[in-house]
Amino acid sequence: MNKQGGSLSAEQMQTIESVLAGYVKDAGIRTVLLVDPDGHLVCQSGAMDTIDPVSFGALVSANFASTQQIAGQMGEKEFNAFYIQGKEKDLYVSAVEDKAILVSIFARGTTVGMVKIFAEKTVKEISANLVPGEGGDQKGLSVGGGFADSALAELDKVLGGI
Amino acid sequence: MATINYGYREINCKIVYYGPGMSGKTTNLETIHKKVPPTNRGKLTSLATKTDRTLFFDLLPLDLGTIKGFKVKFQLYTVPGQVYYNATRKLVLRGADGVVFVADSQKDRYDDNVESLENLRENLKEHGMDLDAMPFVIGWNKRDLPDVMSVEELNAKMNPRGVPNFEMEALTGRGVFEALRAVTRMVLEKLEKEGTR
Ligand SMILES: Nc1nc2c(ncn2[C@@H]2O[C@H](COP(=O)(O)OP(=O)(O)OP(=O)(O)O)[C@@H](O)[C@H]2O)c(=O)[nH]1
Ligand SMILES: [Mg+2]
Repeated sequence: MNKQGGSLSAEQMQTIESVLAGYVKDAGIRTVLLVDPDGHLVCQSGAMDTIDPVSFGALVSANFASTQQIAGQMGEKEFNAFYIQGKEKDLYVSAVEDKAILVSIFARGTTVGMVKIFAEKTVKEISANLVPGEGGDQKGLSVGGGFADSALAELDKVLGGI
Repeated sequence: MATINYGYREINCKIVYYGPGMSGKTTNLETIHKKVPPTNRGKLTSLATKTDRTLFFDLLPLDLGTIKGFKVKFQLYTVPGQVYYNATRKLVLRGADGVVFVADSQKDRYDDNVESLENLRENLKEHGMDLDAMPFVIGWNKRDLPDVMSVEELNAKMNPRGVPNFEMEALTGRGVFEALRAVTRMVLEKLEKEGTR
């Protein structure tokens, strides 16, 4: 998906959104986030609480990328998932092939085994939908002429007075 | 490559601040964070050691609002400059749309600048990217210090292609926005010309 600078159609996004909403309900988890390998939030469901989606996505993807390299040094080809136990909340992170990262947050007391089973099912369903939108790949997605000038004018406003 | 998410009509661009240890990369982000209105920026996230050296990265998200129907967002990242953090440095560089190289102008840091620039080129190559083909600008930082090389000499030795470069004092902000603006312009123009490829 985004590895090549990709995009999803609005329809695909809707499908993913409803898969995630179903996952939150079925597994009884608090929050799920789908993050692309570059750390951008693709989609989310459940309570965001104190989570800042931008930095959260970046931290998760960095964590995941370094975990993969640790796996490599151990002679493992890759880790598909890892689990972090907190005092009140636990975190379960699983790979959606190399296309995205599924982050599940749930209260202590939720059965981890159940979360894993539902997460696996969710990963499969999402994976099928994480293919580039119509037109096959993303070649030639365009923003239209004059875009750079308009965006730069905006940046100048933001940086104004400096 | 810049990401366009059509589902959300959102464009994300990643700018990476690169350079040797202690050259002033984190300070660039701190200065930008201080001066950009809170409505246009997210929080500054830093993964640093106890002594304030970058361990993994700093991240500052910038939000330009909606432009021609697209939400336009920039993520400014710094890498850890210290030589032995190359594994994480390489991870941060992945997917970069543009690079700001922050050089330390002090004479005794010249070799470190050269080594870091060479390291940037190599790490990009490992990601299948080419420094000469991507948005790239240089900030000659710490111009306020006494024992610095001249900008002419730095350009002659380190910038044969003559990419946009700026005298910089990251602590006061001199050159910081100019460098950010220049690399942003290059990224946006590339995006407009090539789409997401
Ligand atoms: N005199 C002077 N000091 C500066 C300038 N810019 C940064 N510094 C100082 O240089 C030191 C290192 O700055 P950082 O921004 O942390 O350096 P860095 O490049 O992020 O270093 P690493 O994280 O180790 O890669 C700090 O003490 C800054 O205050 C400058 O323009 N002039
Ligand atoms: Mg730093």
